[in-house]
Formats: sequence, C-alpha cells, structure tokens
Amino acid sequence: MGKIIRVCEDATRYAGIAATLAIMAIIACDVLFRYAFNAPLAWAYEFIALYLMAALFFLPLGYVQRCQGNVAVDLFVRVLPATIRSWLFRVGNLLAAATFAVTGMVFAEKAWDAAASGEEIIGPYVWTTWPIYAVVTLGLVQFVLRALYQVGQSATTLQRDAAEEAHGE
Amino acid sequence: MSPVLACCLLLAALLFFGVPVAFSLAIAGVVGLFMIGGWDSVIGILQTTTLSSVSSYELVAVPMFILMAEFVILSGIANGLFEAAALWVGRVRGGLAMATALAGAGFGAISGSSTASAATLASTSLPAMLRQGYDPKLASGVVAISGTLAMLIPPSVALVLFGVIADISVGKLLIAGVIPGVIVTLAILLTVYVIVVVDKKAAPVAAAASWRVKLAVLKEMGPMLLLFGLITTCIYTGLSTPTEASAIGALGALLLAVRSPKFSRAGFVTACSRAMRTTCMILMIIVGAHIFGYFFTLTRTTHAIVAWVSALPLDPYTILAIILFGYIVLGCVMDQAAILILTVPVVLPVVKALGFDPVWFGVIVVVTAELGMVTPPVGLNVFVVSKTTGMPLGTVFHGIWPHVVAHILVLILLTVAPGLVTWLPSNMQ
Amino acid sequence: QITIKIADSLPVGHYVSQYFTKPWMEAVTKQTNGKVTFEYYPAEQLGKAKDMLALTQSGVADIAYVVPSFVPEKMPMSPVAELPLAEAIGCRGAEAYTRLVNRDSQLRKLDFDANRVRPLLVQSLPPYQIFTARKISSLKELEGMKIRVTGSAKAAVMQRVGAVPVQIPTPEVREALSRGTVDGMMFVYTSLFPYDLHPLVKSATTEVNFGGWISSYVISDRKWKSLPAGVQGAMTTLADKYNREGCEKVMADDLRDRERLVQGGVSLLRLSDAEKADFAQRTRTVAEQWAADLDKRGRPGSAVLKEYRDELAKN
Ligand code: NA
Ligand code: NA
Repeated sequence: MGKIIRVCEDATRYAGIAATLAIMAIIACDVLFRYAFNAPLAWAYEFIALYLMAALFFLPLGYVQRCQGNVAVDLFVRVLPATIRSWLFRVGNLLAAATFAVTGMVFAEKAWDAAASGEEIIGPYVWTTWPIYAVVTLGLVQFVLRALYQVGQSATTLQRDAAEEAHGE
Repeated sequence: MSPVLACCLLLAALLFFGVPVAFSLAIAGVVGLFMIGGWDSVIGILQTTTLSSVSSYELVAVPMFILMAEFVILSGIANGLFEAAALWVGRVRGGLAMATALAGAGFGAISGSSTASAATLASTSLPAMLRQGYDPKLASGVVAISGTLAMLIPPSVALVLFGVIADISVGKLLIAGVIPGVIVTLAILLTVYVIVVVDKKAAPVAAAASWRVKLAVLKEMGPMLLLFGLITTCIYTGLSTPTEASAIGALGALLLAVRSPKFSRAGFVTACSRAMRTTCMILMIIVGAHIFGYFFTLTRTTHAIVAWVSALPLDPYTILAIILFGYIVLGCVMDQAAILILTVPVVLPVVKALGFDPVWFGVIVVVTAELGMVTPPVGLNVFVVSKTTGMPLGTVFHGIWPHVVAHILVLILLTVAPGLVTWLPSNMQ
Repeated sequence: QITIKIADSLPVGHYVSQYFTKPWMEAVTKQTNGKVTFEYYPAEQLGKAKDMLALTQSGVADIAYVVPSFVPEKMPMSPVAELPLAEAIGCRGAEAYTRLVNRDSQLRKLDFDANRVRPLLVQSLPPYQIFTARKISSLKELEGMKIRVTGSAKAAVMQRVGAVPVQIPTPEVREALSRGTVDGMMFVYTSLFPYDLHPLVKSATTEVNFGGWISSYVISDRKWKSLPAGVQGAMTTLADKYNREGCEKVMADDLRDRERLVQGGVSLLRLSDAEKADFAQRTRTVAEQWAADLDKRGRPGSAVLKEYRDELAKN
C-alpha cells in the first residue's frame, strides 16, 4: 500500500514539475514571439490560468505532505513528550484529511458533472473543463491518502520520509 | 459562545498544538462555516475557493521566483559572490562581515528567497570568517540578517505575494523595495562597524588585495550580472511585465545552471522538487486563509474590526505603531508567508482608512517580516544558519540583536520619511 | 422579515454599486416597508468574480453579481451582447439583452434557467474604445500595434484591423502601457481614471463599437421561489427602473470622462464615414465567427445571435 501511494505521489510530483517548467517555457516563448515577431501566443494566458496553475499546485500535494512541507508553529509542541506529540500529529492529520476529503468529493462531483454535460469553454480554442476538476480531485485524494497513511506510521518512518534529501532518482 | 469566538479559539488551539498553519485555517474555517450556514455554506465555499484562490495568472510570479531561486543555487553562480565582495572591501576591520552584507544584497538582486540566500551565505562566508578568528556571534548574526535582504531587494516573493493579496501593482512594489533594500544594507554595514569599533577582538582586519586580483574576480561575476541584467532589462524596458519577467528569470537561471560543470539530472530534480514544496506550502496557506477569511466575512467580523479601529481616538501613527508591533510579535512565532496571507486582507483596509499609502505599507510589512526571520524563538534564517554550520541556535540569536535594533531604527526612518519608499515607484513612468 | 445576502466582486464605491445595487436595495427595502433587508458583501468578500454564480447556486449568497464572460462554461450565450455590432451602441444593447433574458428566450434558457438563477439588475458598459500611448490619426495606424484586450471576440476585432491582441492582467496594464510592453488597449473611458491610465493616453477613438460588456445581478431560483409575490413584484419593477436609469447615468459618465480626457490634451479619433464602412466590413465576420464556433460544438450560437439582432431591431 505504502509503495503504491509513493509511486503515485512521485508520478504526480513530476507532472507538477512539468507544469511549472511548462509555464516558464510558454511565458518565455510568448514574450519572445510578441517582441520579436509581433505574434504572441494567443492561447498561453488561458491555458496557464485554467490548467497549468491548477496542475502545479494540486498534483504535488501528496508528495508535499510526505515531506511534511506545510509549515507549522512547532514552538510549543517541541517541549512536549514525543508520544503526546505524535498523537497530536495524528489528530491534526485526521482533521485535515477529513476537510480535504470533503473538498475532494465536491471536486470529483464537479468533474463528473462537467464530463457528463460536456462542459467546455468555446471560442477560437475549445477548453474542456472536466480535466481541471479531475486534477484538483487527484491531488486532494493523494493528500488525503498520505495524511491517513501517516496516522499509522511510526515517528522514525515519518522523520525519514520528511528528511528525504534525494528527491531526484 | 459566538461562532467567531469559538472558531478563533479552535484556530489558536490547532496552531498551538502544531497543526500546520494551512490546515488549521481550513479546519477552523470549515467548522465556522458549518456553524453559521450549515452544510450548504461549507460545500459552497469549498467548491469555489479551493480552485479559484490558486488558479489565476496573477499568481504565476510566486512559483516562478521560487523556481528561479532554486536554479540560482543549483548554478553555483552566487558562490563566488562573497569572495569577490571580500576582496573589494579590502583592509577594513570586520571587512569579511561587511562583505557578507554586500554579498547578501547581491544575492538578493538575483533571488527572491531569503532562506536560500542565508543558506548560501552560511556555506560560503561563515566558514571564511570563522577561519580568520571572527567572533562566532558576530559572524553568524551578520549571515542570518544579510540573508533577509533577498526578500526586500527585487525580485522578491514576499512583495509579489503582498501585491497579489492587496491587488496592487507588483511592478510598483518591486521598485519600491530598491531604496529600502539599500538602506537596510547600509544599516547592516554600519552595525558591523559599530560592533568592531566597540569590541576590537570581535573581528580582525581583512587582507588587502591587488587591483589585478580584484578585476580578475569581477570576471567571475559575469553570469550573475548577466542574470541580474536580464530581469532588470525585462522589467524596466517594457520587454515584458513583471509577472512575465519572473518566468524569464527562472529560465535564465536554469540555462546558467545547465551550463555549470556540476549540473546533474538528480540535482535538477531536487531543485524542482524543493521549489514545488515551497510553492505548494504557500498556495496551501492561501487556500486555508481564504476559507477562514470567508467565514470571517460572513460573520461580518472584518467589517467590525475595520470600523472599530478607524474610530479609535488615537492618531494614525499610534495605530500604525501598534499594528507594526503586532507584526513583529507574530513574526517571532509564525512563518512570514502565512502572516502576510493571513493579516493583509484585514489590516490593509485599516491602514488605507488611516490614510497610508498601500505600496509604502507593503514595503514596511516586508521590512518587519525580515525581522521575523531572525527573531527568537522561531527565526527561519537563524535555523538555516545553525543547521548549515552546526552552530548552536543560542549563539546565532545572540549575535542577531544589534541588527534587530538597527532594523527597528530603519523602520522608524522609513515611517518618518515615507518618500524613501514611494519616490522611486511614483517617478517610474 | 426577510434578509437577503447579496455579493459582488466590485471595489467599494464602484459605479455599478452606486447606480444600480445600492439604490435598488434601498428602494426594495422601502417599498416593502422594511420587510426585506439586505446584507451586502462587496469587493470579493465572499469569492472571486468567477465564483459568484456558484455562490448563488450553493446558497452562500442569495443574489450575486455575475459576469458571463468570466464563466463562459456556464453562460456561453450572454457574450452575444458584447459583440462589436454597430447597432448595439449606447443603451440599446443592454435594453435588448434585458428584454431577452426577461422573456422565454433561448438566451434565458441556456444561460439562466439552466443555471437555476434568474436575472434582476442588468448592466452594460459603453462600447469599448481604443486608447493608444502615441498619437494616431487614423484606424490604419493601428496596424502592427500591440493592443491589450480581454476575451476572444475583442481579440478577433483587433486582428481584423491588423493590430496584435495581447492579454495582460488588469493590475499590470498601467506599467505595460507606460514601458511600451503594449502600445495601447481596449478600454472604456470611465475605467481610465480609477486605474490612473489617463496620463499615459495620447489618442482615443469614439463612437465606434469595438466590443461590449454585459453583467447582471442574479438571484437563485430557490431563493426566488421562497419570496412572497409582493416582494418578487417589487424586486422586478424596481430592477426595471434602475436598469434604465443606471444605464443612462453610465452613458452620461462616459461622455463626461471623454470630455475630461480631451481637456487633458488627448486627441479624439473620429472615424470618417469611409473608415466606418471599412471597419464594419472588416469586423462583420466577428459575430458570425462567434456564433459558428458555438454551432460547431452543438450550441445554438447562430440562433441566439439572430434572436439578439431581431430584438435590437425592435428598438
Ligand atoms: Na530579492
Ligand atoms: Na521570528
């Protein structure tokens, strides 16, 4: 189970990185084409705002949770005994998982409705909307799975995952 | 108990017990929405805010400046920065410490991330100072504070965030950071000067260098100056907007990194992954803060706070001082990005109602945020310096306090003479 | 006692809230003898502009300010009223659109009924004009100039006159114009001053329709059905009144701000009859193209365009 979650997380993390690098490349091309050839990329603005920003943020959520990359005020808990600390961590994870599970369900429904009704933005380019909601759902589901999985993990395993330095493989 | 009070207590408890800031906000916000509007409100806000608060073109500069900072580290082009500054400062007592400040300013001009800057300085300038017999307190303190220059001197992730939240021109804000950035650099230099005059044992006199060596080292700065020139040209000649310049800067830094002999695929993936982590962390707080914020609005609390503060029988500067004091206190215990995202939507309307300029306020908030990076008990830059060098936290915090005093004096100066902040942006046409 | 939550994305003091929202809310409260009161959440306090429709649907707000071109996937037809049709100048476009959405039209079915909302107040802007950072004396000089636009219909218009449409977020327009990232923009007179763009403008067109803007406050069907008939009646009658008065005020402001601009030394570019004919000739296909794109995806674009044109002809 842990292995499957990890592989999925890494796959979507790379997709998130790809989206980030794509934003960088597309904007650079857009500026170059606008300046040098007076021909900006007409689709760039919408494509970035609709799809790439969503992919960049939601897809790596599971990975970020694995690294415990979300900042906390750990000032007060640091003085507590390790057992209490790990219980607080578990409760926090459960609450966060519940919150984002609800959100994930809402977005799964949105994706389903959008796909079923063929929702799209029509103009010179046609943008289908369900992939956007599907990306949000995928990221949130991974976050929830990781947060729940962490509840059952030992403090040592958690620390090892969080301190993982070799992010490239 | 009213929903507002209940949820604020819940939020405080979650934060206190170490639940990440973003989650605490989201959880408390959802509970609050449920209390005042039931399930419909919860679903209604979650299904809109979660996506729309992060998927906008305006936010592009945040991931791009973060990516650029990682690529700058990967390229190693800033590693020689300290060495060059040290040669140029020359035969002065405390010369290496002053060179650290200058290197921090230089690094700040090509990177928007304060911790990245502190980490680089800690691994290059700190060992050099310790070898020459600097007092560890002085050496580590100047490294931690010089790192914060990156968040004030453009490009700056902090100023971009402020601009996006406050809905004011990012370009204006970035330009507004230039003069205060120079002032803070001078303040660090002056502080070092005072320290070594008072305590001659704290630092030795640096060695002099010949002009030939000085010029030779400048050549190595080439790639860095190139990158700096690239962003500056893009923004100030109208080749691109500041948002677009962030992407071009990231690409430029990537090209420099690829060209470096130490470039590896694994290093590249690590740099990208670190950028993803920082970006997602910030965006996650934005989502959480929005959920909590809408709950707050629906209870009309923001409204009441703004009305209450504006009606206080105090003069605007007293209220401003109280607000800034609040920022410094928050900065002691909380992450700077979280503070910005959390407070600006409530505080900015108050500050505007008091008649202060929002661009000026943005810079002031970032200068106070710099303080938060180095004040105990939670000072991210101090942690970075301590972690990179293995020096005890206490030593670094001990070395920081003269700089904290200097920083507060700078804050007072910028408040008394707001023109130092607003002059440049209002004269850029 | 009925409390209604009304939300919008407009900055405090925006003319839409001054001319439409606030007077309408006050009048409804007055006419119902204080039975209906409003909780007003302006300035994106409950969500971004593109969230407003969803917020009414979910019941977070009862009434919200919806801009169809921000939710094109939900309201694909309303931008018909933003097309560069010469006959839709002044308040006529808004009037025709309002009549359409208040009766059993295709437009209403697809954009409002399907979303379970109904329109109350309807706003349009005066026709968009071209503002340039250097002086131009004919439309021909736009050729090759980079012009900032929003939306694909306005981009198409710029392409037809030989200009290069560029998309830039609104907060960055000022700098883009001052540093020459763009050479001009498609805007309305009244919006120049709030964005402090007027000192940068040297030339401005007038009395041409380069495109429009349509928006409306909508109420969810659910809330609407819960209201007594008397309140419903008061709301619609007063909406009619303020739609009419509001539009006239907006148009008057447009003329006033044009005058302000001229006094500030901006040269007005009035098209000759020949130029007008040429412009009409070039942009004739923009509306047809808009409809054809929708037709291609199985939406009745052409039918709605015809509906709207017929309604305009009734003016
Ligand atoms: Na910087
Ligand atoms: Na601190």
